[in-house]
Amino acid sequence: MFSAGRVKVSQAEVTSKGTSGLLELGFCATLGWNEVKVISGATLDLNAPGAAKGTPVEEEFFLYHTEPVEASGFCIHFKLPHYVTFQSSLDALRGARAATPGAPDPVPA
Amino acid sequence: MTLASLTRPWEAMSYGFLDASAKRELRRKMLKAIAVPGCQMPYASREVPMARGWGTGGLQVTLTLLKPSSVVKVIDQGADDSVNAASIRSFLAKVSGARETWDTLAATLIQSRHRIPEERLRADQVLVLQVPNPEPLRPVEPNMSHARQMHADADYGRLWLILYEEIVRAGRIMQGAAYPALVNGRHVMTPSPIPRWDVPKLHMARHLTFLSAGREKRLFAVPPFTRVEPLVFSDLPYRVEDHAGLTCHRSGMKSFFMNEIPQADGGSAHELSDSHLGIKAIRQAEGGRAEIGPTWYRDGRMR
Repeated sequence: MFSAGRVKVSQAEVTSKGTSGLLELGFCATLGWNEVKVISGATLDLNAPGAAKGTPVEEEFFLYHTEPVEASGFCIHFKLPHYVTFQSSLDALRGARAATPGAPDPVPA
Repeated sequence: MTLASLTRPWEAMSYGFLDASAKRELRRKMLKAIAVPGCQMPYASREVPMARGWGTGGLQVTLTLLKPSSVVKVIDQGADDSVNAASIRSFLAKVSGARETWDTLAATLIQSRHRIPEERLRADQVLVLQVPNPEPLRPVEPNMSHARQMHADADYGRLWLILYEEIVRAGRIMQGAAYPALVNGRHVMTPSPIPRWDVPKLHMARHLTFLSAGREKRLFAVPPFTRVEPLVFSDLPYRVEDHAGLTCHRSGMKSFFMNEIPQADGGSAHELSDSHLGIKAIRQAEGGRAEIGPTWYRDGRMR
């Protein structure tokens, strides 16, 4: 056993209603303390897979909007509470689930 | 005539932080927004001492409306005491000399992040909502020029189509907050991400509402007594969040919009989202003095 040193890493997990209609997770980690980068990376991971060309969640459009300095405030604002907006989505997800018995749980365990 | 007679003495900062020309432009755009309800007006969003995405759009409108006699309330997701709300409120008071309040009834100017207070707003109050994304057509048309043309043509077919697709897929409309609504029978707006619970409060309201997006540099307005109709199909009525049966575990208030707080046993407790309404209810219960105004909802139903 030996120790070569310590490395600081930051990681972010974000969630939103995905294309499947269920809550999905996005994840990103970077070396060092890097809030804007991990948050924009995690949102990219959440949105980009399978995004159609020309949609706002497609990689090109997305990075165009999250990379500039002006967007750092927008990225970090995801650390603010989002109780109200999340509660509203959750209500729709639960309502849809109650209407279709046997549907998968919208909130991943 | 000397140059000095044409200018004012030097001041470290303009009243209300923004310089006169910025306020002039904002006022013109705000009047224009009132004249065409729900239509997005572009403006030159100035720099304010806050990062874009934290309510800079709302802040600029509020700074323009402030006067020394204003009483200002700031809401962040329903709460007056969150860090963002507290710092915006103290900034507003510092640059204008306006009085700060938490009480909806006492306020003349209310800047809010995503909630409309549960107490009915009056004609002498102005509500300023912070908006992250002002474009209701973005999910169907990412190209801004095309979206503008669609607004001009009142071409909202594709917006109806995604709502219909949601009904086909999930059995109901899955839109959470920011439910698209038709303003004055002409322009569809995205009412910032206020929950569906709050959208009917804008319909034929007595107060003036501004919605301003600083990052996207656009603002729009809902003037008093203007129709605001959520997009719904005639056979599927508009549904607000299912909160009519909930009780706040701290104040005992029933049938208002609640925050859900997960508990250790896997269940959840609920707490009033409009935090100061809860505080007033608790004060009343303890025998203190606190006036609760008439509310938009009674027993979970819009009045």
